[in-house]
Amino acid sequence: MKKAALMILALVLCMNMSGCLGAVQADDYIYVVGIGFDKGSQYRFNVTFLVQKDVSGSEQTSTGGAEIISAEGDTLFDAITVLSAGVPFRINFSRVNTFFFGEEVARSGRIKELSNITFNALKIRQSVKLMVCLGTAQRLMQGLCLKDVPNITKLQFSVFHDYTAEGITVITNYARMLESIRGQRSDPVMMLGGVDVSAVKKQRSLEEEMTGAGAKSEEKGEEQEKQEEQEEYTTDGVRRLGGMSPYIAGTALFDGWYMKGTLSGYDTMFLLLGRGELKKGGLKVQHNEEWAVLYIKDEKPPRVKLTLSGVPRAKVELEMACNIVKYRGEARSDEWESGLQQTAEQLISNEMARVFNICRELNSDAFGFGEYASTQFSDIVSWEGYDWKSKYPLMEAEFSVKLELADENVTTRLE
Amino acid sequence: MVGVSLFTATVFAMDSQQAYSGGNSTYIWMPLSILVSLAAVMVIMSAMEKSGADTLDKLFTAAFGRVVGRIAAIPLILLFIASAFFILTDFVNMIHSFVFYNSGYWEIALWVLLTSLLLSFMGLECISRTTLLILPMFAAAVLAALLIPYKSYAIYRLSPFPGNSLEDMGRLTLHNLLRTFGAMMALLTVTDKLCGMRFAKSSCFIGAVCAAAFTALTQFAIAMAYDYIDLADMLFPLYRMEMIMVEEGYLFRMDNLSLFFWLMAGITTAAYYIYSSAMLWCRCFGPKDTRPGVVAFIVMTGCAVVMQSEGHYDEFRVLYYSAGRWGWAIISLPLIAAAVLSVRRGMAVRSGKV
Repeated sequence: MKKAALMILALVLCMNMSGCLGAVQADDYIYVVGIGFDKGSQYRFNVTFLVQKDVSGSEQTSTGGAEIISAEGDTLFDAITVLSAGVPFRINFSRVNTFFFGEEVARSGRIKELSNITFNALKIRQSVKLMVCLGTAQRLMQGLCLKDVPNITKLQFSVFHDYTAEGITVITNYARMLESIRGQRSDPVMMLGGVDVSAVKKQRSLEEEMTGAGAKSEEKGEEQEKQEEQEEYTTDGVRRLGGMSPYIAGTALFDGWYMKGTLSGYDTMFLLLGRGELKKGGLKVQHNEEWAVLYIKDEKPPRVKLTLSGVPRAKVELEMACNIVKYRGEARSDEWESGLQQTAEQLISNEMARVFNICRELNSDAFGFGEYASTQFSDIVSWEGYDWKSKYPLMEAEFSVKLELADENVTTRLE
Repeated sequence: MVGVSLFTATVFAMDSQQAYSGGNSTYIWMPLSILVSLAAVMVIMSAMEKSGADTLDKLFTAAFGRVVGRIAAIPLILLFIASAFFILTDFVNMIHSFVFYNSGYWEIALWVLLTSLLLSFMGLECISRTTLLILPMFAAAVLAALLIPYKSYAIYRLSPFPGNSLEDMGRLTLHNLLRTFGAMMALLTVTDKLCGMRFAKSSCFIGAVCAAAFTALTQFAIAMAYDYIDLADMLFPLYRMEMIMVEEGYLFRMDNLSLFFWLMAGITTAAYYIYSSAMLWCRCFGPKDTRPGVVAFIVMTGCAVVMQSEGHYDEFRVLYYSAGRWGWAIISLPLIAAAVLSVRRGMAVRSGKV
């Protein structure tokens, strides 16, 4: 027993000694938390690195604890070489949380070039999240570095959590994207991000004013001022005041490696319903010339009956619960039974069919019907021989929805 | 010890390309190969009991005589060394790829090999007690790796179901026998140190059944986390389980911690194989002390590990495929012959004919 205990001690010591292999002091590192890819002017990519700075104990910073550094290169490694030469630290990629793709990179299919990279070499995990940015990735990342963003890591958690709870975006990671493309059972969908340009400009002008360079802004033409005014409050086309400059704008749809189109936040909710991934989301329904707001939750996994003989046909049955969070009537459950339920069910079915048609026209199997199709095969040869992607553009789908009123007591009596 | 070795052989030290490229049914044929090996080992153990041979070398000697018996034992010695090689190679490759990419391969290999040498130098009792102490941590690390990404599991990834044809599953089961067989055969080299054959039989049975259950569970979880196309290109799928998760949590980066518990099990398993090969060598060829054999075999294994890292990976892979295809026949034929002959001789001795 003594020997065994000694051995355990030796093993544990050996494991601890692993820290001595290639040791680097903690304060010699800077941590990259996001990498953005845009089309380069000189080389193939303009790569932007979002770097988390150590703000503990430091004086007040002008930006939100992060800064961006960018470099051009034909590959990610070229850009890293340039970056390494330009900073006096060792660059650590183990905390990379998100890849941001500029719209042009996503549409041209250049994301594929990333699949040749050994992420292990950089210690980037394949669970890294993916986001397509309207415009350029660099612009969105600039927005992430503004003063209104307190901590970049917290922001990422907040974006992923809140927006999933609202049901207006999807979340995917690199491993899932590869699975979708290589397995050909579905097409990737990615979070779509935008940046409210007025917030970036406001920040810049504030800085300029502080440094005395604000005189120039007074010389702006009337037309330019008008244009800037229009650009203000532009989150996803909706006017707003205040809040962070980066925002989530819906979903980017892909056909394999190529981005083909986008879905708005509203449409994304129906996509999520079809994928069985909606956690919560609000829906506005018009009934008896009144607006009712329903809060959808507790979606059960969709029941999909897919027939593959001839043209693929799917019957999708959905079941979910909801609360009525706004309706004029006094007895909400009475209204529910006298037609609101049917109106809401019909609306959801129609909207899902509409979103499905958008996806099918773009040849993007965003709903993942291929996953159901593959379950009808018993061996790989016949499944791969079927070639789902060539059949998908002809596919027809029918949606039926059953909505139940949850927490009826609360909905009816409280308030 | 048997259970940990079998689990290590079927979950960690496996060739993903061979296991998954034709489909994803490892959760069926891998446990099956453990159970087939168990049946074969039980038959050999019964033969040993009937012939009165309490260790493997005595079985060979009783069946073939001293000279031919020694030659017949050589494939088994090589099998144990090869098993240690595969486990060490896979773990060193993994540590080098996933954790210490910027460190030299030699540094990592030496670090793992020296620990294995130390363990096998100390003997069987030390190896088995160390394994027993590691077992709870090891099992917890495996279970954690399976439970953390449970939200990301999807049934559709099992399809096309079952993926492999029956013929393929049979071929893969046979192919994998070499790995599962070695773990149990190594125990037969030291049965005289295990309070007799009955105890060896029961521990072998319990270890193999537990390993088959755990392997089935783990491979099933892996199959629900990744589809067969991704798995075929994946080194060490269990380590990658958390990569599929999109919703992060507090235990999101447990994989690096778990890896070191798995590595401890890998090191004790390699030590078990090296010790068994040295023990069989000594008993067949005369030396009383296993330690020179242990050193020689670990050096051989270490050289092979480093050789495969320096541009000979494909040669070792081809060797593995060829050995996997026909090796089980080379190993099992002398054993079957030995079992039959020794039982006959034992019966003849008991009936007074010899």
